Amino acid sequence: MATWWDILGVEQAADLRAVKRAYAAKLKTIRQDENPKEFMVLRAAYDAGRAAIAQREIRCEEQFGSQDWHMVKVTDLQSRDGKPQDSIEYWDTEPSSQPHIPGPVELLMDEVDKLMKSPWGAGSIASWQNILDDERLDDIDVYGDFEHALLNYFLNIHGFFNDDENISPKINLDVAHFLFTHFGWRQKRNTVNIDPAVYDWLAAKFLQPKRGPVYGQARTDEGLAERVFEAQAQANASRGFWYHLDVIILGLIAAFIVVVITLVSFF
Amino acid sequence: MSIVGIDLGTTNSLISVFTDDGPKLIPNALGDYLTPSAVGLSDKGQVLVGQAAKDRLVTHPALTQARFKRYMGTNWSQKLGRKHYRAEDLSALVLGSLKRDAENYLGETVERAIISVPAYFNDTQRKATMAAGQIAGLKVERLINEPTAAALAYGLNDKDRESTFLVVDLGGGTFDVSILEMFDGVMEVRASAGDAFLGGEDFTDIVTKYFAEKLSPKQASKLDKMSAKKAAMLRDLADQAKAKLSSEHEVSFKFIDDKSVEQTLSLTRAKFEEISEGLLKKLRHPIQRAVMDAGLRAENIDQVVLVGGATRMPVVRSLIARMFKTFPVHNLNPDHVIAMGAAVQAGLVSRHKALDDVVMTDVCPFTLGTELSIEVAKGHHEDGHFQPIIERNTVIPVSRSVVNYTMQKGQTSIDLRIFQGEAPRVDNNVYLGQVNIPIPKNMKKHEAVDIRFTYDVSGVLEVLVKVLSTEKTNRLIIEGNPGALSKSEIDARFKALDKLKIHPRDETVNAAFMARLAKSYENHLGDARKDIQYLIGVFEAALARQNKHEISEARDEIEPHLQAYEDRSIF
Repeated sequence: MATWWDILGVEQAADLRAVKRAYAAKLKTIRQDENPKEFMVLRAAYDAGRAAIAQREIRCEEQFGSQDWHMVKVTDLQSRDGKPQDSIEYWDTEPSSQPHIPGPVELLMDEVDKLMKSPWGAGSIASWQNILDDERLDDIDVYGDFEHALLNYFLNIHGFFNDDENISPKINLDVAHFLFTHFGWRQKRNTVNIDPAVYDWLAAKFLQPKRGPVYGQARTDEGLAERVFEAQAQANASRGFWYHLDVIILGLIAAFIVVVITLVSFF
Repeated sequence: MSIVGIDLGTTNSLISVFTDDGPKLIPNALGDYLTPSAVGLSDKGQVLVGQAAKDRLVTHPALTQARFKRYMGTNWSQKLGRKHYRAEDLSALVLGSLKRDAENYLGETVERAIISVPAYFNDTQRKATMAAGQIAGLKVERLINEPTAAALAYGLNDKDRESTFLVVDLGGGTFDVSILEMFDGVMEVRASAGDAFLGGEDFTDIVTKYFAEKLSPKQASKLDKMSAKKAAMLRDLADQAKAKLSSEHEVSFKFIDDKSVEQTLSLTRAKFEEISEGLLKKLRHPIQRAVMDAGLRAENIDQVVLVGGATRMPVVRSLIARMFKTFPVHNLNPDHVIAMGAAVQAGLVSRHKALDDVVMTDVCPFTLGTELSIEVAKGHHEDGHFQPIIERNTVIPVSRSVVNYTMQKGQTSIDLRIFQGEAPRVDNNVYLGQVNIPIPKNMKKHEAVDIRFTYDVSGVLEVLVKVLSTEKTNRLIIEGNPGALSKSEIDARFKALDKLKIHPRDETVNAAFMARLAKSYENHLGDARKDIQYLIGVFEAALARQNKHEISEARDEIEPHLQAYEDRSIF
């Protein structure tokens, strides 16, 4: 099978500029409407190339430190001490001797925190809508930081960082659906800043009604379905004996009947 | 034979062509580039399209219809005269009028077209637009997303630069946001988002409502109780007032209410901003989503480009400036730019030499998928879950598939429901249609089917389902959507519309002039009304003599008087 660099006709170590140039040159020789298949192959190679270069940059960052604080990856946060974190963690900022003035994102996250801690608030879509309508979110960068902070908040309190399967979501299903629809998290795989696995994990955690085996849901591509399936297979395994209680009881009844019949026929 | 580009708008439509000198707009019979998307019947039962029909909305509300783009892809229909018309029919009449303008201008028959649609138009709305083209006797070569068309028009000017820009397209009825990256002659749409039911007409509606409440503060729903004529007149004036607020800080106009009393109504910019707050909030979200999906920050965006007549409103411009901390660009006329881009696309499709080194790729702006049942406990299924197949902002053309299994062993068919949207549950997404797949009865195990979604360059969806055990592939036509017309229905409508009598093109100017006079008559009282009545008499007398030269002279004579009356009613 051809690799992305073969299809594009570049070196494996090519930089983004070279990949873009090669893609542009090849694209001009293809008619998307007449040869959609050829286009799809080229496009897949281009996407794979860009993803590989992005990965390469992440590895560089991990080794030499992140230069841009906006680009802090979830994996960076994950690698901190394994202990559960009680406080909310925001983006890394330079330590400063000056008194800390909370920015708009921190203030908004305080409101989110208050909402989550109030017994009624976290269950109300209206109060979430209120936060999302806030004027401070007019600034597109504040909005971007807020979305990331909110994601981190949920990952934090719901056990993403410490692999705790048993923490159940603190917001109800309706609110989860509202937030997922608003941010489009479930289908947000085509973005570049965050690992799609994060969205998959969140979706599996927040949107599943009850635990149980999944039928009618097997996907050929990697993704949520497999993860959900695995998670639930594990859950089933851990339930073990008691999950199949109904079968066991039926079995016992059947055995009892057989014994009775045997006894009756014996006499 | 040329391929034309058409911007089929909610409020106005335009037609254009790609020439050796680049994209060119084609004027209509009145000499304007903008043809109002309004259709009506004249007193003689002939079909009127454009400005004349728009003005007759006020004088003949029962014989005229506008803003029907909103109903594309639905079962809506409206009675004009004796017949019912669907949104596709009315759109086809507008397309037909544009087609005749182009034929007149180019001196050849026009049969092939590129039509622009809002990026956020769903599959049914896209198919309806294709159908409208066919009913008008046009072969629709391709649909192009409106913000993408705008970007093509902008991008062509400096195609060799490497840049990222955001297109904000607020039209009459729809709102789209697209982020484009340009490099090495490639114009690539990175992300699109939008709202198919948000546009300048909604701003006009809230202004109309505001004035209606001012007219009678006690009855909040006064607008419903007003006569159709008065309501149409108030809306027409509100629309003019809204447009005028883009350059003035306060605007007033005279309105004759139901009791024939002349009232003066006024609106300030500050008040307008206050009443449109809810709509401005709705504008924010698609912009946020597009920027987040592209993974960008404000500093990564080189230019913010404004497209669509409604972006002339200062409230919209200041919102964009607030969001990006930069002033948006509007070098090209926001009303013309989409039609110009559609012409560029026509040039690309017909492989015009000037566009040899330009390529454009677009995305599917929303997620497409199917409904899924999940077994939540043994034997208990919960349906209504959404399974994404083509995720939003995937580059098109694209083809993706998933394998699904039957819920029960021995199941003999699958009802596959197809949806579009970002919600995890199908009930919050847009229903596109349904297909029934027969399955061989298998008591031993769950049968598997491979569901393949293919999204073509026009953004039209095709669904293929293969039953894996029998290798039987079905190319499925999505049915059960009442908004979509079948092939035979389209043919029947083409024949029906072909029989309609169209108002002669060379008399369009006179029809439009008469409609303007009649509208002005409605909105005046006393001596002014008598005077306009006299002007109408003069013009009718000139028309009766059937001398083209005399008619044209009469128009020139009446024009300054009519203009003065129109200016007097809004100030």
